[in-house]
Amino acid sequence: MRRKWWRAVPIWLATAVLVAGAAGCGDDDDGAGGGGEQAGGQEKVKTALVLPCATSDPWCKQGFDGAKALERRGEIDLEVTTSAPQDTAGVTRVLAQYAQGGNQLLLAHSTWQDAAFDVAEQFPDVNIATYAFELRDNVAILEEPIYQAAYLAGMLAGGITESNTIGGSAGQDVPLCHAELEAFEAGAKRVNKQVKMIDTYIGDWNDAAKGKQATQAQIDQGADVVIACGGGPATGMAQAIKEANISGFGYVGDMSSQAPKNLVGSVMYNLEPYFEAAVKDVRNDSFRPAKRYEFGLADGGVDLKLNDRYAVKEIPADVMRQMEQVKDQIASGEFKVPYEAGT
Amino acid sequence: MSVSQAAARLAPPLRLDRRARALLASAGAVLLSLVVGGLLVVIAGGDPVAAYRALLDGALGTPYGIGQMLVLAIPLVIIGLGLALAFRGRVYNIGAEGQLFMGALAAGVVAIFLPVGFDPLLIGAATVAGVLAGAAWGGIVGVLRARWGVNEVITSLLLNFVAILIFTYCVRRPLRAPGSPDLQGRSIQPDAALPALPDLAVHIGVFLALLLVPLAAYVISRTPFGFRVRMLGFNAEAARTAGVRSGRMVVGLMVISGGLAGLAGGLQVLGVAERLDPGISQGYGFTAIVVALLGRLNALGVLLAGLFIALLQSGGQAMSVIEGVPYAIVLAIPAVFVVFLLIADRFARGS
Amino acid sequence: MDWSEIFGPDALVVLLSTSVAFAMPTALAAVGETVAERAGVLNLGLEGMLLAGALVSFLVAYYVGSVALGTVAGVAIGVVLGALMAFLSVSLRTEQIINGIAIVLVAQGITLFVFEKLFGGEEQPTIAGISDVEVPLLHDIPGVGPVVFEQNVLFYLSLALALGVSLLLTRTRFGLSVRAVGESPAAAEATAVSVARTRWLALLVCGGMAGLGGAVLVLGQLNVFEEDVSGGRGWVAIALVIFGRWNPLLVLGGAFLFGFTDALQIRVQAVSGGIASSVPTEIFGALPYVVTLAVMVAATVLAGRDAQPAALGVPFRKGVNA
Repeated sequence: MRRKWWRAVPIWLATAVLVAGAAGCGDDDDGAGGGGEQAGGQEKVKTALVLPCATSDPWCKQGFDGAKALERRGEIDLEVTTSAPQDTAGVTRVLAQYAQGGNQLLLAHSTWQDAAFDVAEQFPDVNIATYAFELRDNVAILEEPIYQAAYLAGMLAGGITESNTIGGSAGQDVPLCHAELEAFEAGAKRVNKQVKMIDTYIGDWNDAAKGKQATQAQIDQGADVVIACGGGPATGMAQAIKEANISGFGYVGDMSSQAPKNLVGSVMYNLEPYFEAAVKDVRNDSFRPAKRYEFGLADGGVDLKLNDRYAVKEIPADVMRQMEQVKDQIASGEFKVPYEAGT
Repeated sequence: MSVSQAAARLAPPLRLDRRARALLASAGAVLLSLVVGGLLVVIAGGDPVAAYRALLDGALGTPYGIGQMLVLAIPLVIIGLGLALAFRGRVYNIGAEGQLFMGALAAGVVAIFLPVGFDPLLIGAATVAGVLAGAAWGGIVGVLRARWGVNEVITSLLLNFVAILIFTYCVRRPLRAPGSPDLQGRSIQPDAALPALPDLAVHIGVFLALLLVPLAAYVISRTPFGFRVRMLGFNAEAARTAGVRSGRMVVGLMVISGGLAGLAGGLQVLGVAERLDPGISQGYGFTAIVVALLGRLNALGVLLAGLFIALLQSGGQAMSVIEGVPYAIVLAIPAVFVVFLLIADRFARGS
Repeated sequence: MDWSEIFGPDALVVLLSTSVAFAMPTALAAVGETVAERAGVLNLGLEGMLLAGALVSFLVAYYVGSVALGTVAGVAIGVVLGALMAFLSVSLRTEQIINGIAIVLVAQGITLFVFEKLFGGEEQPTIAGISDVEVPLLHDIPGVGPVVFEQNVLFYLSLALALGVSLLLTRTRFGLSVRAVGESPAAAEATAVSVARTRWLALLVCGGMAGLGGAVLVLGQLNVFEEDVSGGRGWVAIALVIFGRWNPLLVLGGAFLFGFTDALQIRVQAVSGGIASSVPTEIFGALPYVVTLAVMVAATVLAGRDAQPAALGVPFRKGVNA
C-alpha cells in the first residue's frame, strides 16, 4: 500500500487558504492602542488581567474582583483572559499579545515569571506584575502573605477544637501552601498547647474529589477544624465538613456560601491594593527597576473574614479577644507571624 | 424521457479525478469549519470576521507572532515524526508526554550542573541526555511489549503520570529554584540556553526540527529499517514470516519515538523555559498524536499538520486576546477544524 | 505509625467504602468503554463525555432542583456525545483516535465557556447533596454489607447499571453481536448482524455510562462543578479497560483497585501525621499507577495471550474488510 502525497492535501489547502486570508485581511489595522477616555481627571491605564482558571475558582475570583474594583473606580480600562494556557510558551503568547495591543499594565495572576521575563524584554514600556521570585527590569513581584491570616484562623481553631486535632490539606507541598498550614498550626498551638495537626498534600491543585477524600480521612482521624490550600482542595474540604458537620476555614476568597453553617470564616486575599500600586507605578512611570508589592494584614492585602452564619460550635470569647489582639499586633508590626516555607 | 433524464444526458455527471475532489472537499471543510467556528464566536458574543482576522494577524501578522507559532510547532513536529514512525509499525506509543518530561529532566540536570565553559559542548551534552532519557523511558514500554506482550498503550499511558510525578518531585524538592513559592525548578547555566533568531525570537531548535523531516522521510522510505517498519504495519504476520524480528522492531520504535519526545523536552528546557518548569508542556505529547495522524503518518504531512495546529492554537490565543473571544471557545475551534478536515478527506477518497 | 488505624476492622470498612464510592465515576466510564471497545471502536472521548455529563447534570440539578432529573440529563448528554462519536467513527469512518481527542477538546472548551458565562465572577454555585441510605438486611452482611450498602442512591444505581452492562455484554444476544462485531466484523455481517448498527448502539451505551459517571461525580460526591472536574478520570478508565483485559467484571474490579490505592495513599498521609513532610508526596501519588502497572504486567506475563478485540480501531466497510 503506497501512501500518496496528496493525502496531505487537505492540510496544505487549509493552510494555503488561511495564509491567503491573512494576506488579504491583514493589512487594515484595528488602530488599537492609545490611551483610554478621561475619567476623574486622570487617564485610565489600559490593563489586561490574565487568569489561570475560570472566575468561579476562588483564586481567580479574587484576582478578577480586585481588577474589577479598579475598573469601577475609573482607574483602568480592563480586558480579561480566563483559563489561560498553562504552558510557558502559551502564556508568553497571551501576554505578548496584550502588550502589543497597547496595554500598559499586565496583571498575570499566577506563577508566570518566565513568560513575564520574556515579554518584558520585548516590551520594556509595560509594567508586568506576577508571582515572580527574582527581580528583573519591569516585572513586579506580587507577594501573597496569606499565612498571616491563616495564623489568626489557627488561633480560633485552637479554641474551637474539642478533639485537639486539626487538619490542613493542600494541592502541593510548596512554600505558598506549606507556610499557610504551618501558620495555621502555630496559631492553634498558641492558644492550645495540646493541638495536633494533620497535614495532607494531595498532589493536585484542581481535583476536588481528592480534596474531599483528604479532609474525610483527617476527620476519621479525629480532626474537627480544618483548612485547605488550593482551589480543588478547598472546594472538596467545604463539602466534606458540611457532610460531617465539623468546622473549617475557607481559602483565599469568601467561601461561606458553600458551607454556610460550617465555615468559621475565610482567610481572604484581596488584590485591590496590589493592583492599585501597580497602576500608580504605571502613572508615575516608576516601574523600572521593578517593585515588590506586598500587602499584609496591616495594609488590607490579607484578612480573616468571619462568617456570621457559622453554627457548629461556640467560639470561646477569650480566644476571640486574643485573636483580635494578635491581629492588631500584626498590623502594628509588633508581632510577626513566622514564615515556614518548608524544604 | 423525463426531464431529469434529459438533463442527465445533456450534462453528464461531473467526473472529477480524485485530486480535484480532494481539493474541493478540503475547501468545503475549511468553509464549514469557518462557519461553525464563527457560530461559536457569535454565541460567545463576538464578531466572527474580526475574530478570524485577529487569528491570522496574531499568528502571522508580525515576526514575533510567527516566531511564537514556530516555538509551539517545534515540539509538535519533532514528537509527531517519532510517533508517525512508531504508528506505521503498529506500535501505539501514547506516552510521549511522559517521555518529553523525562527528556526535559535529564537535559535540565546536565544544563544546570555540567561544568563546561564551552557552549556547543554543554548544549550538545544536554540535548543528548534528553534524547537518551526519553529513549530509555520509551524503551521500558518496548521491552515489556517485546518480552512479555504487555500492551504498550496502557504502559505508555500510565508511565506518563509516573514521569510527570518524578519531574514534579524534582522541581519541588532537590532542584527547586531558590526562593520560588511554587513548582519551579532551577535555571540552567546561561551558556546552555539555545540562541534565538533575531526578530522571530524562536530558538535554533527550529532548524533541528526542519532537518529531522527529510531525515525521517528518508528513513521511512529508503532504508531497510523503514522497509521492515512498513512491512510490520502492513501485515505483521507476513513480516515475521519474512524474517522481521518484531520484538526488536518494537523496542527500536519505542526507543526512537521516545528519544524524539525526549529531544523535544530537552529543547523546551534549553530553548523556551531555560529552567526546569512544569510549564514546558501542556499536553504536547498528546497533541502530537493528532499531528501524526492528521499528517497521515508521513514526514511532510507531520510538518504541515504541526504547523497547522500551531497556527490554530497560537492564532486562537491572539483571537481571544484581541477580540475578547473567551479562551474556552478558542480551545474548541482547532478540534472542530481537524474533524471537518478528516471528514472532507474521507469524502475525497470516495466512499 | 499505627497500621491498625488503616487496616483494623473498623478503619478498613471506612477505607473500602470511600474507595468504592470515589472510584465509581471512573468505573462507570471504564465499563462503558469496554462495551465500545469490544464492538471494535476505541473511544478516546471518554474524558469529554464525563465532563459534559458532569456539567449538564449539575446545571439541571441546580436550576430544576432535582438530582434525579440532573442524573437523567447527564446520561442524555453522554448519549449525545456517544452518537457524535458513532457518526464520525462508524458512519463516516474517520480516524477514531482523532475523533475521540476532538470530542475531549470540544467538551473542555464548551463546558468551561458555558459555566463561565452563567456563573463567571459570582460565588461558586452549589447544590444540596443527597444523603447515604442504609439498605436493610443487606447492610448487615458482615464485611461487604457496611462497605457497599451504606452509600447514596446514585451509588446503588451506578453499581446496578455497571453490573447490568456487564451482563448485557456477556449474557445477551446484543452482547454476542457486540463481541462478534469487534472480533470479526465481516463474519458478523455475513450472519446478518449489522456492524454499523451494533457499533452505534455500543457507543450510545458507552456515552451514557460516561455521562452517568460525570453525574455521579458531581451530584453524588461534590455538589459543585469546577473547571476540568473530571480530572483525568476518563484517561485512567481507558487504561483500566486494557488492564481488565476487556472483561467488564475485571474492568470494574480494576477500577475499584485503582480507587483503593488512591484512597489508601491519602489515608496513610492522614494517619502517619508528620510522615508526609519527610516522604515525598509524589511517591504516594504514583502508587495507584505503579500498582496498576505491576498488576497488569504480572497478569499478562502469567496469562500470556493478548485479549484485545481483533478489529479494535479498524473502521468497517461492507464488502471491503474481508
